[in-house]
Amino acid sequence: MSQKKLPIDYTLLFLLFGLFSFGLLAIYSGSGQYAADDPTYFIKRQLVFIVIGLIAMMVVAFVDFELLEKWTWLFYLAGIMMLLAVEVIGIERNGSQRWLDFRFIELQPSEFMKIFLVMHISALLAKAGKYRLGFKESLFVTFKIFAYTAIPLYLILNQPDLGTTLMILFSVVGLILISSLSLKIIAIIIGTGLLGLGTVIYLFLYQIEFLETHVPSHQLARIYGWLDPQGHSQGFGYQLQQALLGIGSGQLSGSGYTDGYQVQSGRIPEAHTDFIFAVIGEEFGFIGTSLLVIFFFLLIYRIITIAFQANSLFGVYLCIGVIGLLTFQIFQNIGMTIGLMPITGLALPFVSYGGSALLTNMLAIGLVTSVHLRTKTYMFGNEESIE
Amino acid sequence: MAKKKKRTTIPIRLNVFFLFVFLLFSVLILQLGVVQILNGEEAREKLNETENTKSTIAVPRGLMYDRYGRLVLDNEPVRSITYTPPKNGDSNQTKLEIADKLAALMRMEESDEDLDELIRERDKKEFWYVYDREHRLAVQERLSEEDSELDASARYQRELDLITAEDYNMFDWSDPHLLNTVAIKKELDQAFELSAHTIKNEGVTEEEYALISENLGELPGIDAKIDWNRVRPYGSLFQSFIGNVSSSDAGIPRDNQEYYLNLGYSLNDRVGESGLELSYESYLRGRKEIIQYTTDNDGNILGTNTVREGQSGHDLVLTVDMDFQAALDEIVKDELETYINQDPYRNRFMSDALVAVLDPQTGDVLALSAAHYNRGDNEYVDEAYRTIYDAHIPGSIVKGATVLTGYQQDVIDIGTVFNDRPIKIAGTQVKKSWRDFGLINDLGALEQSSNVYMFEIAMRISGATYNYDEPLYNFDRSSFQTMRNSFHQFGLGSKTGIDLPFESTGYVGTNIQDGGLLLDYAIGQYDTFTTLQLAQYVSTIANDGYRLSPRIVKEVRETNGNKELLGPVLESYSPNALNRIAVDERYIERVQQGFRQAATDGTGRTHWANNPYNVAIKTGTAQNEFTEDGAKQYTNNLTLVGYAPFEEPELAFAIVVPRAGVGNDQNGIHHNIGNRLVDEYFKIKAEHNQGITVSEDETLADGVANTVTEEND
Repeated sequence: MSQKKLPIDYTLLFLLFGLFSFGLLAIYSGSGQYAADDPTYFIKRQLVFIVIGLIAMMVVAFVDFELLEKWTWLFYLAGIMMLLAVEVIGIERNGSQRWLDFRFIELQPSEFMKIFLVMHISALLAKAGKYRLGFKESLFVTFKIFAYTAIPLYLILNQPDLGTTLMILFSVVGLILISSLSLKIIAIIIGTGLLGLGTVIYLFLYQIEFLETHVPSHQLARIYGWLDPQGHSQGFGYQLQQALLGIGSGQLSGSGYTDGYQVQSGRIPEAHTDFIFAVIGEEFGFIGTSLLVIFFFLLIYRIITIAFQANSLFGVYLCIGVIGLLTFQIFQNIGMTIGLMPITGLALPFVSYGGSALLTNMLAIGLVTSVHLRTKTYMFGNEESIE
Repeated sequence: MAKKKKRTTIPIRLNVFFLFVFLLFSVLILQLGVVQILNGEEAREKLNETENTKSTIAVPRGLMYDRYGRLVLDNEPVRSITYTPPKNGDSNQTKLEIADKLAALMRMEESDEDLDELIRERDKKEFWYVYDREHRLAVQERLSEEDSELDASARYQRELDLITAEDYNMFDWSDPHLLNTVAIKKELDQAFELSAHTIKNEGVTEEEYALISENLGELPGIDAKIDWNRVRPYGSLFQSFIGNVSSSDAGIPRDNQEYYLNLGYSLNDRVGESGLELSYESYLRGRKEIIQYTTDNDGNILGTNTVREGQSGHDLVLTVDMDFQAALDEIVKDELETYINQDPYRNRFMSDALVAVLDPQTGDVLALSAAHYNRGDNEYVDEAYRTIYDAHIPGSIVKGATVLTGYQQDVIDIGTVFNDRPIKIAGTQVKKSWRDFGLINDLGALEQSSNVYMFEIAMRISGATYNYDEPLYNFDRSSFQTMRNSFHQFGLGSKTGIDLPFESTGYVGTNIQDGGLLLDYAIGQYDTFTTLQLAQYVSTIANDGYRLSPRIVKEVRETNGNKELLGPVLESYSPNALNRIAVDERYIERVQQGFRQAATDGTGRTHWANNPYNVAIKTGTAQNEFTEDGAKQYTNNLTLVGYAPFEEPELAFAIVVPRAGVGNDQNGIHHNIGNRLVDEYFKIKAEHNQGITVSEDETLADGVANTVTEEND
């Protein structure tokens, strides 16, 4: 890699800038209800976060990711320590204890943990090699992966933060699926997953008392609201119903910038953070939303391309882990505002207002960039390639 | 490494994974298409209609008329401007905008001076404070280190203190529009979320009302309403029975919220709180009209939809003749004043005179009147409610019930003679009649008001053996209950069943060990009764033993939009017989005869013998001892019951004058009131027969006989 060039992948950067623009526009419009005194308060801060994020991305990209492979356990350990710290001295907000206060900035360790875990599991899988493993070996690796995953997941679920928990689970399962583990193991994992989902649906439909006594009521309420927004229009169903109405009323071309009735009248809560997609949907219409989704898709596509080209198995897994994290966030966040998924507190990557999430997503892009910059293209294939 | 195992499927799996991600994104786009393109139009329309404002329009409450169709309780429309903040309230900025717009449409005070007086220094400071963010920042800079530590409200107070006249005088405080705006803003600040607060309801001009109504779309939370206030054409006359309604600020009673909410009331609804307004609430309230406005986002009304038609409350026609009521009030007040002034010292404990007049054949309340003397203010006031709330020792007027109880219990019969001589039970004072009559029969006993005759009845009912100055042997304590049950048939000690929300049933003595007290009970010297109960008692005797529940409301009528004319009858109340005295009619006739003789030859003859209307009466003088100023005070309750004319009774009355001074009882205030009320009644009746057509009197005797029910206490 040339020392004169900035450690940047310009395709990724272009896509990110597109997403940032969406974000800044929507934050300005959506934060109106919270920032009467200074309408630029939130975008000014978000710009600062973006700059910090870009720097963080470049710093990570500058580092040779292959050097990290042996030390992923250290990051993993640090992440666990931070999660434990949250458990003890974390700040509680809206009933969840997720934040650590560092005076100048409040960090959400679960955000970092998800990257550290992806790194660590990528390293584990890379060590297993690129060739298909036998059942016994697979079983052993799978067991290790689940053991490493279970600890942080328990701590995060306990905060409680269901959204992040599911995101990590999605990413880890994604990694397992593309790995060299035996098909039998994968069949078992998918089978277990489907069985679990089936059980939950069964319980929900026929054994609701069991769920009511074993699931926190606020999570259950979100599911109710998701299944029947009209019937629960006072609670979580209300947010969803208002968001749906707003997005729907955007129709093809939207109601015009800062002219979204639902957004500007404050009927959509958290319009600059979790529900930012509703702003875009209402004010920019289907054209805006599909453009945004395409930007996201191109971002994922670009990362997949990087993974395909990568010479290092660890690099491939890193890319897939990041894709897993991003895809889940995107699908979950957009899905919840348009009634496909229940409501959780996950932000829309690179678009929603907020420093912690942006920073970690930029770190993730930094890792991907690092993989890309260290991929050597050979004219005639090579030993290192995954092919 | 074994060759067959050296296979990698990672690229294939990567492709599958990518396909999966692609599918997820496709689902997103698909659902967006459904939400925005397919259902977008619907959402758009729904959103436009979201601003449905429901508005309820108060309907006038039912009116009340007296028995001759004269308006007793009327309504007048009152325009009011209200403000209902949204959930979580409006911001100060929004409220300022609303106040500014409203100020252009209405004035909180007519004159500029009054407006100026409304605004105090604090108001000016607060206005300056909320007017501009710069102002708030400026004040916050003036806070000292310690000030910043204060809690929110103390800190706000401190900030206000730091605002100087120089600051707020940047505004021109001689500008009426500004003063008006600030005055309105003050009202807006007092409103709670989702609850209507009245900004102005006095002196809202027609123009203001119209202007605000036209501009409601630009005034979020503001409403222009018509409310109805009660107007009383007869002033305070009979008002303690007509009762009151709550104000719209007070709304439904807080301690009975559930009940009213279940009946479909809302918190701000005005409801009857007392009297007929309360007991006939369901007829009077009417039904509010609900109108739903569909507006677009700019507040322009797209359409209106009457969700429910309104209906005015139903009107009540009362049994009372307001002329007679007014005359009676005057008589009672006049007599009380005269009597107290005759001998202020001896009458120093006297403060009330109470009268209840019923139509014995229907139970109609003809008048209820009570004058009360406020010694402190030297003032005579109308406290008519005392006729149903206050219970007094009745004295001899209950003897009709005692004699009838004697017949009923088979201890006497028509013509039974007892020897009226002093009675002495061991350990108690001698009990006797006001004169020792010697041999006296039942008729004579009523005519002359023999106590001893009543004692004999009571002792026989109790099964006791009497010997002079010995205890009452074999006294059966249950005889108290026997006597009381019998008295209940007359309404003495039981509810009269009047159509008012509350009535007192008097005080029931508890000591049933002492046989002497039973003798006291027999002559009306133990339990206490209300004036209305006494009127029902005499009315029952006058009506041949049928006890009818007294009624103030004769019928309920629908409104016809014209206050002068009564609408069609919705419900007409026929006399409601509660029970019949369980004795043969000849016994009742015997008591009636005794009452008549009391007027012509007996205790009341000096006052009643010459009365042209054939009145039957029973007099009473109850000894009323009580302790006041540290000494035992002896007074008399002067009481009188009667009815007229004797043959075909039209009115029955009970008069109670508690705590009259002892001495010259026969120069009785009760007799004067009685005579004047009977005269007045027939005089007014004659006037009505000549002039105004009296509403048709139902013939009752047959109807009553068919609806008799036994009352089981």
